Amino acid sequence: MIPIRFGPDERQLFGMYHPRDGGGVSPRALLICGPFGQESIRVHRFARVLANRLARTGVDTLRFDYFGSGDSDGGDELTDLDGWCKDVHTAHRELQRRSGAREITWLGVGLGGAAAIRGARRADGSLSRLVLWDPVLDGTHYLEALGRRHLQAVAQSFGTPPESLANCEAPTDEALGFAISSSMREQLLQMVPSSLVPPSNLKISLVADPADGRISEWLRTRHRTGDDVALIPVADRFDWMAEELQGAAMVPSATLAQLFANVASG
Amino acid sequence: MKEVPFLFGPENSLVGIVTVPPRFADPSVACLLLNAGVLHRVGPHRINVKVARALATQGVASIRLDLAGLGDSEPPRSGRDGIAQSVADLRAALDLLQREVGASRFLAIGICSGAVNSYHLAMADPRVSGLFMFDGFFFPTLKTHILRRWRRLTQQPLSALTASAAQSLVNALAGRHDLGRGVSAAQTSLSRVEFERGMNELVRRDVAVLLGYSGSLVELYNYSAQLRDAFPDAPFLDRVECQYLAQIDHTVTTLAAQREFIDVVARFVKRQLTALPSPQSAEP
Repeated sequence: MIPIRFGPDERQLFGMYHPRDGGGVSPRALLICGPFGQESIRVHRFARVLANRLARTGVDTLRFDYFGSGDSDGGDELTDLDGWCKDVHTAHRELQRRSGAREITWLGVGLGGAAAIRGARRADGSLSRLVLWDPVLDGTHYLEALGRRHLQAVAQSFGTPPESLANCEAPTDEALGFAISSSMREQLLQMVPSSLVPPSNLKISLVADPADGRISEWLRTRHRTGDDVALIPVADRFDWMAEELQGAAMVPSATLAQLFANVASG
Repeated sequence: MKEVPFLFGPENSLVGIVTVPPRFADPSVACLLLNAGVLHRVGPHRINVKVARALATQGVASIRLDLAGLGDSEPPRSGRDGIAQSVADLRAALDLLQREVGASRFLAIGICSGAVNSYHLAMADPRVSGLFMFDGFFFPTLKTHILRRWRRLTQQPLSALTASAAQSLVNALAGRHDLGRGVSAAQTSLSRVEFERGMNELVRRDVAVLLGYSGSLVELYNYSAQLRDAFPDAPFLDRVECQYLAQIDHTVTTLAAQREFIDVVARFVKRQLTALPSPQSAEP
């Protein structure tokens, strides 16, 4: 596992590169496109465990932080979905350069799933597959969920919330410890399942809850247009917005096994 | 400002990010930003990253790192116990900063278990000249318990005031509660005697100490003068700072709490820069 910094000077990104055990050129590689804000912290350990396992089976993996998140440059108030798409391409090229892989899978997690779908339209032929884990497909619904969880988190985090935070409406410019830029907010408000159209020749595995209306709507649309999208019911209900310190499971083993099997099998 | 990732430690198994300022205020001083609980080096809601970059604007270098077994660092292979391993890892971080930026005095900044680890590092390594411990060690007093009971009573409807709640109030007033062993949020508690001894030793060595307490753990800390009441007449009291930061929660969830936290840290660090004569500011 190698910590790296890459990308253009004005938009330097941080990543952890997991070369395959034994070295050499990897025929296949995985790029993990993580979720937003607190969810990215929540899934950090999961991503590391998955990447380590894949490296042992011969799959190079790159996990990275978008500009304005994690250890990458920039404040979280500078991040938006259009920028994320650029970062996904930057990370893809870096992974290609390091691994030599001819086939690269993108694992899009949460809002990273939306970035992966959007970014895939401009990807080159080395992008062979998308795996989407609980992707965010409806931006308005997502913003509302973030707002609700933010208020809950603040209420739970204080013994008695300060006067300034008591009986507040959910803020529109932050959620769960992270700023939401006005451009991110605007892009999310415009995002609906029908706006997320992947390339037609791309194989997609969707690991999600079949009972989620937004997932099933998107799936129906994809099937109507003849896209190759397979739904795999997610094994664990992962509480994305939980604080780790509340004891939520960090690496749900059944979902780990699902994603590992899906990616490793190609 | 530049940030440089490192693998370091005896087996190159620890991961850290060193933040180097564009211009040093005092190249002999650098900060350590510790893990909080099981969270990786970015800290709760990325606070360690934000603190590191704020310190860089002040001309102070820092490292945020993952202790063995946390974040991206490999699990420990030594047979050391938890505290001993943490101290070893942190000393390796001091060594790295010494090599990379030339620092010789270090300020350790820790939240929760990070505060506990920073304390143990300072006890073990004389290079640590300052500590900011946020929600580290707690020593409730009688008044803490009374205020806690009162808060519960006033938050409940009158009809919910049960006999057991009334009995609890009586118990608290009669002094039937455990004020003995201290509690640390990381469950590695020190007794009052151990803590007082440690703090006296640190101030004897001129280590600057700031203890900060959030508005979250009101069961354990809920008024400004609590530390003074817990250690009446203790020699260290007049040599350490203590701030009850009731507007800040334990994991700095809101951006306003983060700004206030960063301001507290930045002002503490700045005071250490001016506490001793320093060389002319230098380019890194």
